[in-house]
Amino acid sequence: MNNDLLFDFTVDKAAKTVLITREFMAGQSLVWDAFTKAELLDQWGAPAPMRAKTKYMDFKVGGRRFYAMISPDGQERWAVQEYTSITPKTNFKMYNSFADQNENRELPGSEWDYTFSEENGRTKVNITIFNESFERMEKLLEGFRIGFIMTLTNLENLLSTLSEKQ
Amino acid sequence: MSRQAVSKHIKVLHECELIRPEQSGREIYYHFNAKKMQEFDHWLAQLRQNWDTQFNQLDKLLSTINDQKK
Repeated sequence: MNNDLLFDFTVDKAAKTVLITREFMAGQSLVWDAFTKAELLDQWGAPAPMRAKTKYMDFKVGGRRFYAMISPDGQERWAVQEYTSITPKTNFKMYNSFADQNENRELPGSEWDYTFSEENGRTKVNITIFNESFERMEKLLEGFRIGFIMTLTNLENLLSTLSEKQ
Repeated sequence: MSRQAVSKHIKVLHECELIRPEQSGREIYYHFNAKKMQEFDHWLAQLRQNWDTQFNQLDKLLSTINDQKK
């Protein structure tokens, strides 16, 4: 059904950024709604068998969406998305952080940027995620940044050399 | 690169378990942990798969809404 729709997923380890591009077979206005209205978001916003449940959503600059991803066995993972910029139908930015069930955020979070554009009845969505808040990922990405300075093999050699000098 | 910078990088790599220390007397040898790198690649693949699943769900939803409009 969607075999010819563009899907690109790139991790820029050096920039600590995840870049996602996806095309949808629908107009820009509808796709915008699917990303910015709670009742639509909850219908697709978690990968099955997980499901998304929005407790409240106030889509305006400074407003928040407080929602949970719920696993089949009922475990809830809450998160807060705070909207930092909105250009209707075209772009919105938010700051995403995990939270407990009382909406206490676990900082730091990550910055998300969504851009929408339509061509020939298809809508392209570009998503940029900066500084993913998974501590594990952050640490790993920090590690990978070094990989750009020298390959890990070289690093291993260097470390051996340094160890020998001690 | 300064010695401090190398220490810092080693610390992070160690925390991520991408390198494994091996004590030998008063020296520490660090080894590259290829298994961990594979785990990370696997984790990234999983992340991509999650997005793919979600977007396919959205395809269906958009198609349903568009059909209702007709």
